[in-house]
Amino acid sequence: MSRRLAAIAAVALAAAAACSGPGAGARSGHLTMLVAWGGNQLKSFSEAVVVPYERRTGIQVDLESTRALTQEIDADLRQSDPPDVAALPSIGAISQYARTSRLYPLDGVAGARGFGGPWSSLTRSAGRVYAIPVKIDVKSLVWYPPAAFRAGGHAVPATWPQLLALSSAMQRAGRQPWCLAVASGATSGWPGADWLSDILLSSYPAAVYQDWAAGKLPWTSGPVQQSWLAWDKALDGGGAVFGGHAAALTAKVGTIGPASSGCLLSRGTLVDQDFAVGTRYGTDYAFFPFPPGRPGSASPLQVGADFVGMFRDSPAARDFIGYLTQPATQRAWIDYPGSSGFSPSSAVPPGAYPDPARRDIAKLLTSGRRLCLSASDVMPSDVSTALDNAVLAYLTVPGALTSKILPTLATVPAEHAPIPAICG
Amino acid sequence: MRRCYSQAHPVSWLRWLRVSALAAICAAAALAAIVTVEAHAQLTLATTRGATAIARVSDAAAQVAAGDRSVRESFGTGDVALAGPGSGFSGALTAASQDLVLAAEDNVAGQTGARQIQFDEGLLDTYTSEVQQAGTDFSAWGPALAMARLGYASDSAETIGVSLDQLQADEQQAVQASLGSPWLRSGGFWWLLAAPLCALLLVAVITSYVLREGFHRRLSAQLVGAVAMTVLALALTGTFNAGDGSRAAAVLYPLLRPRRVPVSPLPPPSALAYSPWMLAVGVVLCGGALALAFAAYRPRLLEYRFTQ
Repeated sequence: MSRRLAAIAAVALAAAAACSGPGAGARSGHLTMLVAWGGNQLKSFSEAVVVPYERRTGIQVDLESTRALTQEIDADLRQSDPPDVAALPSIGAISQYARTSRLYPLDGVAGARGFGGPWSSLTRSAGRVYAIPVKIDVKSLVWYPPAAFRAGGHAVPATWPQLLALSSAMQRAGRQPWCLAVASGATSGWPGADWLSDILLSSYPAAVYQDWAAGKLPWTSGPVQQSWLAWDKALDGGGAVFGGHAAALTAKVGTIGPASSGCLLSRGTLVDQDFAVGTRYGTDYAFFPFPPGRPGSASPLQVGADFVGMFRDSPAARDFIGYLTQPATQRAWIDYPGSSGFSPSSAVPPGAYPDPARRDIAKLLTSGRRLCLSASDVMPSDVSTALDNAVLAYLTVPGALTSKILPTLATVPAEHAPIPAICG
Repeated sequence: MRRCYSQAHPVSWLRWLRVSALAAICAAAALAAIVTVEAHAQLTLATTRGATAIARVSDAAAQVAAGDRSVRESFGTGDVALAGPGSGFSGALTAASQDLVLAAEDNVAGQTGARQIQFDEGLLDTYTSEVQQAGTDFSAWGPALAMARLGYASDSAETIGVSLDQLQADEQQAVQASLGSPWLRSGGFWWLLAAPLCALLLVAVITSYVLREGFHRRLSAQLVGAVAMTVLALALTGTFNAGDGSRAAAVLYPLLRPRRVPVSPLPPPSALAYSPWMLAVGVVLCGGALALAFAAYRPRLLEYRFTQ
């Protein structure tokens, strides 16, 4: 009798497991992960992270890559068939999915609470962890060709005024120093928004930056306007942009760089630079941190990050996310040839990076400087889109910055839902 | 066999054999019907729904490309200042959107296809918004930003094209899976049809033994006829179903190649196995086989009744 009862219970359990609805059921042995990465980023993640996990656990991880990440997730959610996990770059999107109970909390996942800096507050909602950073990029970098600098008698600037002076000197020497590319599909313009973030961070306290990102600082306020004007000054109304403003509008992000395109200065992450084949770090290209407004100070570093969230709660998904946070996994990922990101884990030292450029960036990252997430990554999508559009408008008609662009931007409602502290 | 035979009266054997023969013929008829219905379902899926979905997705991709060309012309000539993106663009995008709605109705790629269609609908909305924003920029900031914005939108159009190619591939894969279904492949269903036939042949062999041993008679011509009619019914079913599958594969071949030129929905190939006349032939053959089998045992059983 007891054997029969046990059999009935087993069948009932199996039936219950089979009948559990989408979004709640575990699909042991199989996971889907949605990412926005492509090229080397996707390849390195797949080869260095996913394949070893599949070999070790027997769980198959289907990686799907799409440029329209949130659109695909939204479409999947409408079909009640979301991916098990997804790597999301936008804190705004994570907050939205967490608020609407689309994301499952990760409190029990190994390593979920093991991140310091801005990450600990960014990934929580109502006291629970909903996302875990798995990859970060440093944006506050200015890339330059050391050989050309030496030949031109230029020195690496230590402050923002020195950077402006350097740019002017290069212009006087007949160069258009700044590499600038803002074409990036539906989000074109975001490199300009990052420029403004860097200028704000270098010239004002982090609290001002936080207020701007949170919508508490009007677009017409002094710090925001002054940052726009400072950017305009750096680009000299377009005269300092390689190929002119029109070229910047149509150049795709990641297609120009100081060692390959003829320009001499390029602000942005390592992965967004185009270095010609055969060029070497240190001799052909190098970087300096975005300089602070005043000498002797060290402005916070602007960083971008990808966070992993769980849309289907299952032991396999939890295990996989826990695996992603492990230092050994992070080391394997950064060690893979072609990998370009950085580990948010403090257990991965700069020496773990295989190439000198990333080692130097990692040293900067772990140097104790404050880290601040890109403001546009936490703004509501309408606001960040308006900012991107304002950047495009500025690049088209620089002369209209104060007369038309900023007043138009001021009409966008800036106030929005509270955001967590974005500087750690 | 002799020992087994001796355990029951020859007439009891004949009664059991008659029931077995009739049951085998009924089973053969039922299996032939099941094979035909299932094969027809797969054919309908492939030739009607799948082919329509593929054609619609293909047309959607062509419409998006045409819309992108049209809006570029509109911006290039400056017409956008007064006429907006233009009726060519609006018409093409509306058609593409309708194509996706129709593709969703005939989607044979399951959850993957449905998800992809929803995703593509979202991309279409994004692309349309980008073009509209380019129109707004043309008036507000001039042609330089508008053309740059149009370039970004064209990237989105390209993304839609790639995504629609993937959707088309998913639909094609589902159609190919239907065409390769065991219900349409000779290797897949012949064994199923052969099973009742083997049973019927076994019954005929045993009947022949019982008639020889118990009645000193040969196997009746009616039973041979019943077996022959059953064989014919099953052979026609199998051959016609396999033929329908092959014809459908040949007709659908142009739709199953990866291509980015629009394809039109095709008239479904005629399904011989599922046709009314084949149904009539099947009924006649199986009914005839049942009648002959019944008649084949009747004389010996009557003979026994009269001797009693």
